[in-house]
Amino acid sequence: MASETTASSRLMDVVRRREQLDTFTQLLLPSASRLFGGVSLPLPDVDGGPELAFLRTASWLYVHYFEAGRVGVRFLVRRNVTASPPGHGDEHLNVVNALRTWTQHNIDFLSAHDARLTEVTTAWFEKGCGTRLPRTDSHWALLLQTLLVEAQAFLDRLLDLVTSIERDDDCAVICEQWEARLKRDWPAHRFHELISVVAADIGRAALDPVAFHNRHGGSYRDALRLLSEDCDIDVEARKLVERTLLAESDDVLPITGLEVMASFGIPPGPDVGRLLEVGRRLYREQPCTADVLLQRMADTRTGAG
Amino acid sequence: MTDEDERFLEQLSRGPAGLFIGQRHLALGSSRDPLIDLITRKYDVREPAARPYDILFDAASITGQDAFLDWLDTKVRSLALPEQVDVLGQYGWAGVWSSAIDPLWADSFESWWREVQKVFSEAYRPPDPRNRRRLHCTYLFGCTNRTEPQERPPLTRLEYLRRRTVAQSLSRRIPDTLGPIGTLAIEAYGLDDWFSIEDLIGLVAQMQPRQCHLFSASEAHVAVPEMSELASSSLVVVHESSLAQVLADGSRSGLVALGVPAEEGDLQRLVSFGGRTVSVPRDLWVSLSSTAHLLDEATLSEPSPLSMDARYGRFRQFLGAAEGRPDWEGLARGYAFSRDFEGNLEQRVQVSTGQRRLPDRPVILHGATGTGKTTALASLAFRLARSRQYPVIFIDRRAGFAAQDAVDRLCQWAEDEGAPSSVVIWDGMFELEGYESLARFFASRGRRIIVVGSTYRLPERLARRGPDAVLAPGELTHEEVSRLGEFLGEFDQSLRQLTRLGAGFDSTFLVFLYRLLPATRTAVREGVVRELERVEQAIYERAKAAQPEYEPRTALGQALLDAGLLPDLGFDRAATVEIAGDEYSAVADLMGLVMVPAQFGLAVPLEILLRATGQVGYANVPKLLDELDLVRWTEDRSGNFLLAARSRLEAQLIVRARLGTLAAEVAYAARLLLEIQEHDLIGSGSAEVDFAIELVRALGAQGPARDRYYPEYPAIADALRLLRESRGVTNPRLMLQEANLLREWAIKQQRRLPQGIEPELPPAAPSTALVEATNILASALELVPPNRGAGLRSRLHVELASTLASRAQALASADDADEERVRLFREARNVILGARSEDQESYYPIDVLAWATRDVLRGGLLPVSEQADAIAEVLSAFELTDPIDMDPSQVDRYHERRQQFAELVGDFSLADEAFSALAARGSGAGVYLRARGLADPLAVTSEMSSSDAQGIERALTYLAEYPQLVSADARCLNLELDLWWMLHTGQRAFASERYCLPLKREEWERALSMIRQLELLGHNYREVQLLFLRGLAEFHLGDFNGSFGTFKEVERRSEEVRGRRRIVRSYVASTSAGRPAVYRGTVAWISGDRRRGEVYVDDLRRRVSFIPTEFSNRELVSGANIGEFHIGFNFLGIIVDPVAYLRPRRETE
Repeated sequence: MASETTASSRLMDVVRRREQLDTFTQLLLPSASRLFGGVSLPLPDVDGGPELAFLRTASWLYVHYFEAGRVGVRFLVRRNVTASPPGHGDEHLNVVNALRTWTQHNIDFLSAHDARLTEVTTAWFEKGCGTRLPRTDSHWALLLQTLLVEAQAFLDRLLDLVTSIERDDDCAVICEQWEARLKRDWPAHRFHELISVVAADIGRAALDPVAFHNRHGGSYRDALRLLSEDCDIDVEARKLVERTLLAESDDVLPITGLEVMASFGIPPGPDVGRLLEVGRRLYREQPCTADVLLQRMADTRTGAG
Repeated sequence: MTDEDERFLEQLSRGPAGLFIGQRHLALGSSRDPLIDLITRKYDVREPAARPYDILFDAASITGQDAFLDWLDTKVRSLALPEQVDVLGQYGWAGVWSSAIDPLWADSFESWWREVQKVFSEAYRPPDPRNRRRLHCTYLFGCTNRTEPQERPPLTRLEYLRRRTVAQSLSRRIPDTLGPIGTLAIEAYGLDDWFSIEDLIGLVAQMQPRQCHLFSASEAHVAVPEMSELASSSLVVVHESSLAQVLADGSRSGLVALGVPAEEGDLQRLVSFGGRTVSVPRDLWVSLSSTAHLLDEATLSEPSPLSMDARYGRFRQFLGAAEGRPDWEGLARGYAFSRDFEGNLEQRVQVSTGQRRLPDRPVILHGATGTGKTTALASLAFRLARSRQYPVIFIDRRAGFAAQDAVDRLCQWAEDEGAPSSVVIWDGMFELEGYESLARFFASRGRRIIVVGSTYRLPERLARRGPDAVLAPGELTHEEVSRLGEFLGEFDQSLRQLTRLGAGFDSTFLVFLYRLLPATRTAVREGVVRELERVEQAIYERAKAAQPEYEPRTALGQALLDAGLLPDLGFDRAATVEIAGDEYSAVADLMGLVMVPAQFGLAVPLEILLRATGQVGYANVPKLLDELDLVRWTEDRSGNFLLAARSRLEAQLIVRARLGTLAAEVAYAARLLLEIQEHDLIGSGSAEVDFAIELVRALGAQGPARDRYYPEYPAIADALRLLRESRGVTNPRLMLQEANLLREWAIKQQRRLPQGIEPELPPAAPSTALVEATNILASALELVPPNRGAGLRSRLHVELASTLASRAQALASADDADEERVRLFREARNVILGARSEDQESYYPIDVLAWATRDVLRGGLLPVSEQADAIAEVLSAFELTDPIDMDPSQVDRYHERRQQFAELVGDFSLADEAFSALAARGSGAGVYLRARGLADPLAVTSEMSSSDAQGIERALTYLAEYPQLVSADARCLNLELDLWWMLHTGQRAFASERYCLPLKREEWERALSMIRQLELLGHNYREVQLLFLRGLAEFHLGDFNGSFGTFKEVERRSEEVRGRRRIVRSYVASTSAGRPAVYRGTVAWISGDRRRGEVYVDDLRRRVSFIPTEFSNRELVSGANIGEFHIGFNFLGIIVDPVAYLRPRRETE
């Protein structure tokens, strides 16, 4: 029974498994990378109030799976879908992801994404403590136990997956695939440095690299993931940063899409966007008033300009 | 992202997209192919320079093919799929083809909203090849996890050469699947792929410019001269970026949705009812979504905000959409003008959902074309779904009744999840009977489903029959007109003035509104209303002078028709087509082919249309459709491409104005019919045959304009004959339609002759048509094996019997034809026996039997003894048919026909000589008729009087005097059992619910003996009911083994029983005093979801099924005593019945 083992002993068990996984991957990968590595978030105090303990544990797990260990966890879980079909592990990942948003963000019930997330969370609550809206300490205590039990199982599964790689005759080929992903995954500080350099090069040295990275870091990371091995990653990353910086510093046009539609008599659609692009180009060449810009756009459109 | 990348993303949002994955997909994002690396390491073989995957041939020759394949499959599974392929798997492709041989890529497409159907060889032809929710992943060169020679990868050069032709053939399905507006993305393709560059060029050359996009293209690709030429002619668009990068960029920019199909959202499969939101299981979802639309949270989500101009544009787009699948977003934005009758309709549905009894009557919305039924039904569905009380399913007319099983399963799941009822809104424009039968089907399954259907305007008689028919009036009320002004004003103030046009009082104004509104709001503000007023006045003048045949229903309709509906598109230089003596341009020809079926709300599958226009490829079709605002391009829920009109009314106007004659209309229909192919030859599944049947039904005697087209029935039948004889499409369903057309035409021809109307064809033609119909049906029956398709066989038999009887009827005025008439009647009767055996619940065979017998009796053609036999057959058939089980629309016909027959035979008295003659040849007809004369089971009222009882006793005594004749005649035995049952139980069998039978042991034995006699004799036409009664008797006689076994058989055949009776617990186990027997027991087993279980019943010493929710007042765990209960019986078996269920009824007695 879940309640027979205390939450703190379960958490210790989770920590022990995490350490095993880190050590294991350090020995396995040629770069000696660890699966999770250092996590700045302190270990949650699971002996305190059950609600707070639950919320902190969910955040702590989220940081492991989706931040510190994002490359390795994803590689292990997604590798070989045929041999290890989606099951308990993936559900646990989904739940931790949903719990983090549910507990730390304002849920918009009209948003499609948030509604699905709420469904995942509340269904998990119902399964764990019998109600979709946990209200009492006993509810939260039950949920904490459930979460830790699932985390134990999930880390066990990760251990199995790493073991199976170690035992594989072609461990080297698999590790090579893993390493290639690690290589393409930049930590935040590398982006901070790059952003500072690029900003200085284009004369915007006052730019706050951390704030800028917080806005765009996710899309940079996604873009790097899809790069080919033979690309120069530094160059590609610089291109990404420069593109965003230039787009952000573009002038605000004196016209809007509404004026484009009215002036050219066209309905909403891709043509409005294309005309605005033309307007932007013309405006960059020579800033002017709205009427003049519209006239220049019309001239360009008819080939007169 | 380049401009080409952006255009590609735009293209994705416009039509279906397919993906071709080359063999090097495992090397995406890397410089080496890990699979090749594994092989070279293991077998120490060199990677071939020409085609790396040829390494398989060398490696397989070392260890042997089977061992190598085992090893390869295990190894490939240890690899991680590149992240780029992960991204590709997030898009809602319409199909994926690959020259790769590993199982990884296809598995990566499995997700919560999509299942994967793998295709390994040409042998498998998917019925729904474009279904995005059941993605077809085709392995051009087989897969490592397959062992069959035709499905595994080639392991020698010779095998490769053989397999390459299969790969080429499989790849030819790509253009068919994607159609002319689809897009093909090619990724991970190397020049050293097994699917060679020549193969790829062959594929690309079949497609249109800009359809194929090659990603991760290198200089080497473009250096190939053929590829360079394809690129310069835009047959291939070359992208340097990887497809994953473009998709990811598109996703970030909001140009393309990853993770769910483009047309669906995150909330798909989440449905709310009874105060909670649940996720629909994927298998239920996939099977339902190919035919119906469950209004889930994605449908109900709040639409994104729009500017005023965009709002106007979307409103116009909403108005201009083709009939069929509703524009849910438009409804959510409030673009549907609500008519007054909609409130009444919603109220009827709300009342039905609140009723306790199982709903077995549909709510019907009826009205003429163009009165807003489809919009009203879609709005109703949307409003009900938004209340989140019930699951709501919307089905358009393209679905056909095949959707009912998927709906049943979904609603069963919803009920299990706590839905109080479900609402199924079926905009099928079927006959009333279709909906009635549907509602009864759901009720018979125990579903609480409220069926709401649409149909053409019902005659007063039918509309008054029940309270659940709501009329959509053709005229707008003053209040509606006033509201309409306000409504239009919300899109632009100047639109308020539109209702000043006189046509605003006609409901068809709403249909034409789209034609009135200019493309942009700017144009509205420039005084379009004033212009329209002027145009309308001018056209009104013209309309007054128009020929009646061309006159639309309103002046506005005429205005729109003449002014803009058939624009000159400059296609006149194209070859003309001659139809029924007139010449049509290519555009007009295409329009005719689409508009003729569109009059009936039918959309034409694209493949048929292309074959009919003689196009070998898809060239010009997209351009033509781009420029033609009349024809809409739609996709059904299985991904088939269809062409449809915007509205039925518009199609009607166009057809009447442009084609003018029936002959031309039918000539167009015939051209389409002649191009039908059966599903194993084409990529559109069974959609083509379904379309043909719908079209023929619409034009034929079951259609909305049956009298209009009847002179052309032979021409339509001739097209079906040609299809059969010249094109080899011998489909029994189509043959049934062909025969029906010929019979209906012949009957109408016959009826016209006596009225002095000159026949259009020689007098011999009707009888020739009937003979032809007979032959067609006989051939069709040979195509349907007796052990399969009992329903279709029964329908064919009924049609055959009707045709034979019609032939007999047609000979009524002929000289010296009596013998032939009798022969035909006898043959018809034999055929009906077959039909009745195959479908014992259908009334149609009995109806045909009744009128065929009536005709032959009126003609006085039969000898007296045979007359008696024929009469006995009909009377017995009526007795065995319980009107309670019929569709309400059939009930009238049943009573009418029975009354008619009773009047005809009322004065029939059987002379002793005839009686003796019958007895001498072993017929019990005489005994039956005389016994029935003493007690007519149909005349006995529900509360049997003493004179009824006396009559029954006399009849039974009389039957007992002729044991030999009775025991050999099913009619006598059926009559005996029915009368005996009524006498001893006080009512007809299955007449009520939870009835306690007051029978003593010897009476049960007698009942069992009669039932067994009937079963042994055969031809009793109520096998399942007899099985039920036998099981009941066995139970009460203590033969529990026998009884439980018999009820298992009853359950197996329960599908044959229609109506609520199937699930109603007609009887409970009772004592001889007519009191319910009381049992006790303990829970033996209970399912995890507590929806099913078994109780160990001490007295029976066996387990009996129970429904835990019916005992919710007790704690139900294994071994728990559930107290006292009864045992109930229905067609689903023996079941524990709570005592309380019977008590209220008894108390009221």
